[in-house]
Amino acid sequence: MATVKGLYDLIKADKDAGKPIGPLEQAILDAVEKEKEKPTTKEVDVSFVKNKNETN
Amino acid sequence: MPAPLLGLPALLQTIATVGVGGAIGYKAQKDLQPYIKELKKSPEDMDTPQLKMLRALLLPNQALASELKDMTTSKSVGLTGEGQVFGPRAEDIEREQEQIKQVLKPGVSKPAVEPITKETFPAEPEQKPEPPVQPEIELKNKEEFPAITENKPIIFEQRKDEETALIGTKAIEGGKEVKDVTAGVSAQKDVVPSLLEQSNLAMPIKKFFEEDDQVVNYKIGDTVGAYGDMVERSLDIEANVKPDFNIDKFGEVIKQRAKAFDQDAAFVAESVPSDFEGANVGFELDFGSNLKMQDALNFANLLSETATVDGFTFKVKNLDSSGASIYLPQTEKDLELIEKSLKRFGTTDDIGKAGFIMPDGKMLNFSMRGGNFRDTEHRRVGFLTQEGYNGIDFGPMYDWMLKTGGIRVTGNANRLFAEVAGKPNAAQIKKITDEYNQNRKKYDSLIISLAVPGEEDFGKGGFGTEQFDVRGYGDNLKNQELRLPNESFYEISGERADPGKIMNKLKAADIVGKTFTGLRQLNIPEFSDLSNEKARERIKIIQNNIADISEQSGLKMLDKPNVKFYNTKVYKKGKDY
Repeated sequence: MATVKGLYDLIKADKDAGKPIGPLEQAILDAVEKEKEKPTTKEVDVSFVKNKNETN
Repeated sequence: MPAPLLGLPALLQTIATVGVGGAIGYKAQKDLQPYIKELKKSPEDMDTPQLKMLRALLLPNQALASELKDMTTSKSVGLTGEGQVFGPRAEDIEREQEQIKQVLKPGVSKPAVEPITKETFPAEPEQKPEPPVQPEIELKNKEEFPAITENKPIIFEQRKDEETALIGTKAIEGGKEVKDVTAGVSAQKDVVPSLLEQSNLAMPIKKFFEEDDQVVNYKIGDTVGAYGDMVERSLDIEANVKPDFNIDKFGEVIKQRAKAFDQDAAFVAESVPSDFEGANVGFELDFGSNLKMQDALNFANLLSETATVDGFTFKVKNLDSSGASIYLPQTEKDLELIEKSLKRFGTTDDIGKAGFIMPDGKMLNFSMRGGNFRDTEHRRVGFLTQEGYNGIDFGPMYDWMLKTGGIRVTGNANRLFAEVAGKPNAAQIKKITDEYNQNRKKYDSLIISLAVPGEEDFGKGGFGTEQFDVRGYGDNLKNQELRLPNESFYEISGERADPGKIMNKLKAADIVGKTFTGLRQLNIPEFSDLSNEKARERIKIIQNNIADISEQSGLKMLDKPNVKFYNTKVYKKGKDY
């Protein structure tokens, strides 16, 4: 029974073995690997408000 | 779905005729003329269910998005009636009329409201903050029925039967969680359904989307679908939904419609993570070419033939941007006018207040009354470029956009919308994508749209056809009375926007062509019934076939294919309804 993981493993094995893979196959690898990626950065919102009295 | 009636040749013929400029499309448009005339005579009839649905079917099917789509499909922005009529909402118009009556009453000490036709800015310092609406009641006839563009997707319905639970969501780090939902259902049995039958088919689906608070936006369009060698007119249904959207409830509506129209099968599908049990692999590919739209449709049909033979299902979307304003001769930017505009309006860092993004990334402040959002019509830039401007026509605004390179933005709704007339530069694209990426919890989606010179006419062919009534082309852009139709050039929901990708697409449009054919949800219906090896074989075959057809036709892939994972539920007559 085909699964995304099973398909991924087949394509990945071929790629690692140096066999050529097509653009659709590469897209599957990219999509699965993108999902696996843990974010290494976090988005934060910052703002800076200058104290007007600072220069007084 | 009905028994097979038409073969592939008929599909080609059907696409050709139902597609842009075809006889059926022409006839359908012509058939609408009495209704449109009736509408103009009797505005109260706008609320009849039949006309609502006609509008629902016509309007969302035009541009893939554009600001107009905001108005038709998003429930979070101003809507008229049930969200299908473009222009001021009826209640807004009534309220404004009432307000104007009040201030114009004799003996009232309040100053009379200045009409839009008069230059009123810069805003007087003593001007008291007022609600951000302008007394331009007469504009209601100017902004109706905008942006009509041809987009004829094909749904190749899936018949794979799955019983797995639907729990998948597409989690987005740092942004809103949005799932894609689609469905396939038809009204066709022995004969091709009429537009009215299509409306009747669509009405409960539209109602469901309108009432479900998990639906962010949706589109229901008229399309042609096929299963095997069967071709039928069907609905193109797409929605962006929040994680708690109950697809089974949606499935009930689809089943009910399939039962009402005595269909053999129907399906619903939603995007899921790759590890979802039974997840299918869906591809999205974009091609570009200099082909005429009809040739691009033929290309799509060739692809459909190959895919069907190889057991794939998919739908196609075509976009012809050849008439878009970015292909007009680009003029030197008028630095003096830019300077004048900056002085007149000032700048803002808040896109909610902004009217335009200038070539250096600065945003013009269109919050003239001191509020927290844009309260001034974009058209007011027209006063800077045309002497004696009446404040109503859109032409001077487009003229100003071409001369200054300004991008019109609307950032005070849940959808960030940008309309370009001239070619945007990297600073502008970065500005708008930064705004979207840094405020993803605020926006459901980002749309960058192209203004298309010309004017749609229901009695003529649509955008991309010879019958399309091109007016004000080139230098005459400034003579446009109405807002120009739009083509959605880039649209993204629930994911980060990539400025590099947008710039590449703009460059590709220059080099590769002006026609885009998009394949969506190209997948194998019985994916999980195959072995991994067999599934991969199928993917390889379609890969090779697409490459061959692409080479023969001259269409080039614009970018790498994109993959999404879908869970599909198929409902069958006798078993599920």
